[in-house]
Amino acid sequence: MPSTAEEWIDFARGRLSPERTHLTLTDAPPVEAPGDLGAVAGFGGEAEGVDLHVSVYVFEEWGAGLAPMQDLKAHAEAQGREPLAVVDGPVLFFATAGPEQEDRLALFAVADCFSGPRL
Amino acid sequence: MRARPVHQQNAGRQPPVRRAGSTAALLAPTPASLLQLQRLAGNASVTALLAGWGAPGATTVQRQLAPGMYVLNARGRLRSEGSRHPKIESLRPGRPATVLPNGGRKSAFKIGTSGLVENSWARTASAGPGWIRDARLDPTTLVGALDATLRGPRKPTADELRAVIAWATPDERRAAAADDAFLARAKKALDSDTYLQVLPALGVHRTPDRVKSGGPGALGHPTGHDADVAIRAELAHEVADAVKAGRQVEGEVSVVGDQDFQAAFDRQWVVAAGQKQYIGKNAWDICEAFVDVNLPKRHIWIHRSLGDLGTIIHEGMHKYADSLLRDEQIQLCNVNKITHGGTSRLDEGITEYFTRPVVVNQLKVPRADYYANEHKVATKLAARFGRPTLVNAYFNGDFEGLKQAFGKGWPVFAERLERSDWRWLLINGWM
Repeated sequence: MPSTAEEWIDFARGRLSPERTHLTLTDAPPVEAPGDLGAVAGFGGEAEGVDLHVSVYVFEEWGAGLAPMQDLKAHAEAQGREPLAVVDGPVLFFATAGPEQEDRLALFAVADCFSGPRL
Repeated sequence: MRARPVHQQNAGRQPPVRRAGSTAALLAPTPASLLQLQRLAGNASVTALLAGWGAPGATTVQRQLAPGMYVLNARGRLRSEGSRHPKIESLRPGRPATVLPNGGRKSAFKIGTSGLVENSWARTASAGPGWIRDARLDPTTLVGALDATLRGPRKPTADELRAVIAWATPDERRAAAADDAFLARAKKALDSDTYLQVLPALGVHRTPDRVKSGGPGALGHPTGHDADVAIRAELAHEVADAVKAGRQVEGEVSVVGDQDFQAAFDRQWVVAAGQKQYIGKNAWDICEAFVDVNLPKRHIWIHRSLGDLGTIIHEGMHKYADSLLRDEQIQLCNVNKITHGGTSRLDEGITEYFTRPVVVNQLKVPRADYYANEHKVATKLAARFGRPTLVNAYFNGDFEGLKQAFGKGWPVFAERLERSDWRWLLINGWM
């Protein structure tokens, strides 16, 4: 089980690997700086060919991502973007997509990966 | 703490009654003496039954040990209720037994040539209920009773261990479930499958390794009992029949750490489901929770440090569902060679549809977008065909009602959904 922030980052990158998402994510800043949300680490990425942005935050405590999740989603919706957020232990996965059909389909693909496989 | 047996409670006191062996007899009992006897007997933990039995003109007090866990202090016998109390089972010293309420039966009776003795209505892990002599029984804890079972001449079965656990109090179960040393002994003494069956019976419930310092979730995942309370409070009408049918989360879920999660994962997914791609993989890299969908008892397993507050509500909701919808959809997957891993997209979507209001309204926390795609589809179904149609299909087994409401397009829709064909579902207005 991951224990350090770095290990949780690796854990999150595994969830978002191209084999699972069928998307190529290139590094980009997360939508908010980790420190601004009270997170201890984080990273971001953008999908190639579609309007999809992903942010991942690692917190010190289990479930701590629930608190900023609401604000992040509200902010994205105010900008006309479709948000998606999943909290898994100390990790907050957050993605937003543009309004086009292909953007939304990319978001649906990410949704299937945020919370692990269908078991 | 459990009340001590009557003979221990009375120690050092001047009894108001005449002793006749282990049976107390009152001569011409008065209300005052009866009241005093009741005090000595303690609160409702002991059954004191007055019966017209014993010496002429006397009333013999029928009593037994307080219900709870005991262990045999010498060789003994479990005897039946029959007129001559024949033996059901021979009991060796150290054998655990659970004393049960005797339902008003006479607990003082003669056995063979040994004369009048007091007995307790009890069961062992493998037999009973029946009578065991009080003098043979020493009180113990659930852990003590389980340890005694583990030390027996042969490995106990999961059913035998569950029989011991079944009569324990919630406090005793919590104590055993939190006793790391005991769980380590159990893991060493039992085969892996039996050990894994004991964990949900005890209600093993670990806190996260990065525990929250306050607020909702400070204790980690809610317990199975908490999940039942929340689901039944939010969906009282919807789950009424499921509750009558005995469906519940408590006793069906384990929140565990790495080793037990891995062992349960390998048992279900590598061995029972034959998913070879998971051999040698860390279970927590694959999922945060799962259900034993290929095993006779569909227990829920949640990793203590993964998921969020709503995870147990979602997994627990499955326990309230009628299995017809899921079974038919999985059969559809099998016929169409759709990879399903033992779960159905339709089932997960409707499960999440009913989960979200429980999390938000009862646990008072936001629900993350778990099963976001499936939830979108379920929400559309409810909007088009009415929430009662979904309730009846999901909780009450009226899956046909949903199909009929949908109409002739159902087979195509159902297959596309199980294929996670989000493009088709989006284009056709289901997302």
